[in-house]
Amino acid sequence: MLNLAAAIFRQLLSWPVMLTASLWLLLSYKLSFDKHLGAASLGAFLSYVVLAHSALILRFGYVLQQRRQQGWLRQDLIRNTTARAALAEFIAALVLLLLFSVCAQLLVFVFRPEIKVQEPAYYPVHSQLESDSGWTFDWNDNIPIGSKLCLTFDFSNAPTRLTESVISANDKNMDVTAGNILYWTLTKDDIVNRSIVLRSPAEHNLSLIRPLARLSIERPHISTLARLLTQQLLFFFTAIALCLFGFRYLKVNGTLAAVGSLSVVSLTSLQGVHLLPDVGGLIASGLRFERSAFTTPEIALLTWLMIGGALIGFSTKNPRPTKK
Amino acid sequence: MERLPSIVVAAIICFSVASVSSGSARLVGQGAIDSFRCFNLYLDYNRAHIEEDFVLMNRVALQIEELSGNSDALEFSAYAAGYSTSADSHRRTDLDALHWAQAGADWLNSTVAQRDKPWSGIQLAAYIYAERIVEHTGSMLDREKMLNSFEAWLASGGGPDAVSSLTADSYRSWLTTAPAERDNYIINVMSRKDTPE
Repeated sequence: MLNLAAAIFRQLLSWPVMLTASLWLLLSYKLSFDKHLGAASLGAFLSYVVLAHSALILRFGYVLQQRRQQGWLRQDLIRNTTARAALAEFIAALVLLLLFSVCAQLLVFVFRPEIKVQEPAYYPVHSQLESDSGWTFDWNDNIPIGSKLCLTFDFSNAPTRLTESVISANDKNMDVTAGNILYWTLTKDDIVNRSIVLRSPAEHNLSLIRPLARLSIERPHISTLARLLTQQLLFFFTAIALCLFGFRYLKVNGTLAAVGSLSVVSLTSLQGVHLLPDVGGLIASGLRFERSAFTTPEIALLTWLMIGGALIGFSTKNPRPTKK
Repeated sequence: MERLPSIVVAAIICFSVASVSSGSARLVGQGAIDSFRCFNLYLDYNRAHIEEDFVLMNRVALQIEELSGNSDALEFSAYAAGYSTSADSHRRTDLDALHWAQAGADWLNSTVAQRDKPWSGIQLAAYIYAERIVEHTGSMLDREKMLNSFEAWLASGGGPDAVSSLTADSYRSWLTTAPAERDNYIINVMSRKDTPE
């Protein structure tokens, strides 16, 4: 099976593909980290890697279709080697993506790009008055553990000479001083509930400057790149399995199966409807990637991998007979 | 029946494309497209800056803000239009300088709630009102906006990137000032502070 996987891998990674992938990696690095051109953003680099992975899955679909046209699927059926062949195809595709991720990590490790001081990223947060001295803050997506609310309070209507007060939520209290921003660290429960209610003593008459309320999220350090790339691989694990399932079990054209699998996995980010596990955070990338990086719940990840495993299981079955 | 799976897959692709176009889902790899678009927008922004096309600068800055969440370009476009090039040294006519100062202040005021780091922008808006608008128009409404902006900036202690105990102290002193004297106190503090850069 390993020999077969190696053969498919060689077919996947032909010279033109290898050359294009290498050039793409260098270009991605330049566009993301160049002192004069780039945004100096790890998220931008990750986004170019995600695009390359998607292109490699399309290549995988194309190669599968070539193998069908060459008659290998019929050979598998006659020799009863469908299970081994499907597994070999899956391993070849996964190793291809793994190799690209390793190269991306090596590139960053060797050249060590300079990224500006790691300031946290700020995002507007929706707030509304809960009462005269209470405010509700809510957000509609998963945010990383350790995120903070960054709040500015107006003391101008407070009793004379009052410059300190207390903000509270459930059992937690925090002092707030006039002229200082309050950083309220959100608990795991707040993050899961996607909302929090903060209160101040009614007699202090504080008001929140709502247009200045922000969520403060730490940007992942460049040393977390390996972990972020591993998460991408976990995401594409099921994408490869979907492609293989479409091709082997549903007998769809290889390229169509690849496009279909990328379309299906895109639906993980569908707002308001939970058709698939909430694993969009696994491919956190782009210029706002810190907001979704490391936010995937373990149960969602496990379900995602189990779906992938089940799809591979189906793919290893012999295809249904074709009616003539 | 033989083609049914292909039809189903095609339908799923169509549904995904529709979801992506309606903005309710994001295509895998869309981050790369956005990053590259942003890279190109920065080139356009720099070109507009060189040509002093402030309207284009602001329009491009809004797109950059939408794609990347970074509002530095937006604030700089307001600074360039409303503050730096409205100075006397730029030899603009008074009317022209006032027009661009008001435009810069409006750009800042209308985006306070959406900018990622609004703190330096509200300070800038206060100074645009103080030095480029109120001096010429004497409008009470503009004066009110100036005072409110600067008060909010003092209340934030200068913002996370420019935390200053002096700013926080000024705010606490302002709180202890009699309500009738508070406006003058702010104007005094503004005249003592460094102008925005």
